[in-house]
Amino acid sequence: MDFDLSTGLAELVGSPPQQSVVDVAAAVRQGRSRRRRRRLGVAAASLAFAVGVSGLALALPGQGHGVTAAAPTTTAPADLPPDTGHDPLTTEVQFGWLPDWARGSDGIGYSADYQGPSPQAFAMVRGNPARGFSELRLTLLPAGQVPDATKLNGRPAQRSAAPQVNGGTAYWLTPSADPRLPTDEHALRWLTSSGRWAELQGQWGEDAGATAVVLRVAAGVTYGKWAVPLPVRLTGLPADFKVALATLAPSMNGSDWTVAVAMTVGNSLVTINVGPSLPLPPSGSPYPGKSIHNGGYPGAPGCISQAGLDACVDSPPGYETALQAVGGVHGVADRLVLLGGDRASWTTEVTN
Amino acid sequence: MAKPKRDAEFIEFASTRATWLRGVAYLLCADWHRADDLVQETITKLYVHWPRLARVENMDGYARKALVNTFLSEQRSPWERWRARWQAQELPDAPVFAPDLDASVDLREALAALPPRQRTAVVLRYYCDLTVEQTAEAMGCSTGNVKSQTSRGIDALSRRLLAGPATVAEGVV
Repeated sequence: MDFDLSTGLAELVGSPPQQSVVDVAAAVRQGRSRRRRRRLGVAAASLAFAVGVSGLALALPGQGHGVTAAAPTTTAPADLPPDTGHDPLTTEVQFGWLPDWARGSDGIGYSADYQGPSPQAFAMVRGNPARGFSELRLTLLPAGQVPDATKLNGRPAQRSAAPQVNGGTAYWLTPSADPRLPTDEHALRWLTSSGRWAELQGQWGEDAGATAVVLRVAAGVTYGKWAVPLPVRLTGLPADFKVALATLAPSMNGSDWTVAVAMTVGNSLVTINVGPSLPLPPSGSPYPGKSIHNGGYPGAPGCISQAGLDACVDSPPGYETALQAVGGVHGVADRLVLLGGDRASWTTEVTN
Repeated sequence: MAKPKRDAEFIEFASTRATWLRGVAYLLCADWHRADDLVQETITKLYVHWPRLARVENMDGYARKALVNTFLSEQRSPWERWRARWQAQELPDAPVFAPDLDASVDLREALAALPPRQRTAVVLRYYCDLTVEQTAEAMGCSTGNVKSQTSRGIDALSRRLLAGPATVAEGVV
């Protein structure tokens, strides 16, 4: 049986289940704001600098390399508890000072990849594109690993001098961008006092205001070993279930968040996605509605709803064999306890 | 006087292209709400750069490229990166993806299961009807990469949609 792919794709988009909420007028308003932000970047940054960086010795690019970005006196948005070994999501870095668009702790996410080609963990803060930033990702490289100063995300990049960060060598990295596209991916790398390299990566403008913000964020980073509270408990799984990846990601618009945990057991894979509850799709709709669950939706097999949150447990076809010992995805879902959307009720004793 | 004229031109362009862009965005992300977000962000970017886009010959192509770029940029989230790597079977001892014979597995689900770049290549080639070269331009990669991404995407779709060996043919799965 042959299937006409082009026709099938056209049919998929032919009958949207709801009206578009794309707002051209809003695009104009926000676009104007971004243009203003770009034009006024230098002046605004200078003013913010003078007002808000009391006691902070921070150099703008091109003003000499002997001036150092020092740690600000402000504290982290929220100190994380120490790692107790029962949380699948741990971090070695915390943001200190962040600009107001970061929305404090609610705008910060973390990710830990334990089984990748080069396991790593990082913290991120979702930004506000209208304020010149869409995301900042903070990574502490493994001990002994020296980053390639000629590449950023595998693409050829240009290195340029940056002021020191807390006395450590630092440099900027900018990829060779397609000038026809509005891409602003950059990185700041610096040597920490422990001898490990750290990196802040994201999309920001090249004006002095943006780089000053990045330098101040870098100077405020703290290092250690912490556990990230999660809105879920998961108990009773056999010891051969190994966490492959865990992430707490704020949404792009900052209004909510998603937690994802991937575990392997033998050749099997199980993923757990947790997020705030969303409305059920209309009865009879062929579309499951907005999915925060990696293809799942409230009421789907392996999905549960508790305390205002939804969670879906999934295992790709062909990967679920070893899950049968615990009752498949349903068995894993039965072991979940969701703690609600109030972060004060979240726990680091996830698997205890 | 030039600014209101430019704004009017932008509003006309964005208003008449929003539905088309939304369809492409939906095929890329498999979620109508997120498709709206992608289009909103794309046309906002277009507005920011609108004054210097007057000399662009193919504005539709530029807008589509900006949409693809916005979509692929979002895929840099850790979860999406991890999923893409897993689905690309880069982890050791990953079993061969088993054909799903369940008739309820439809094209939407099969498309959504593709890694982002494979999905983008398939959508641009088979929905937007772009050539390999045009697809490479839109995705910012080589033609060889487009061919391999498309081939792998079609192969994965075939295995999920059909009960039997994959049939890869131009325009037909």
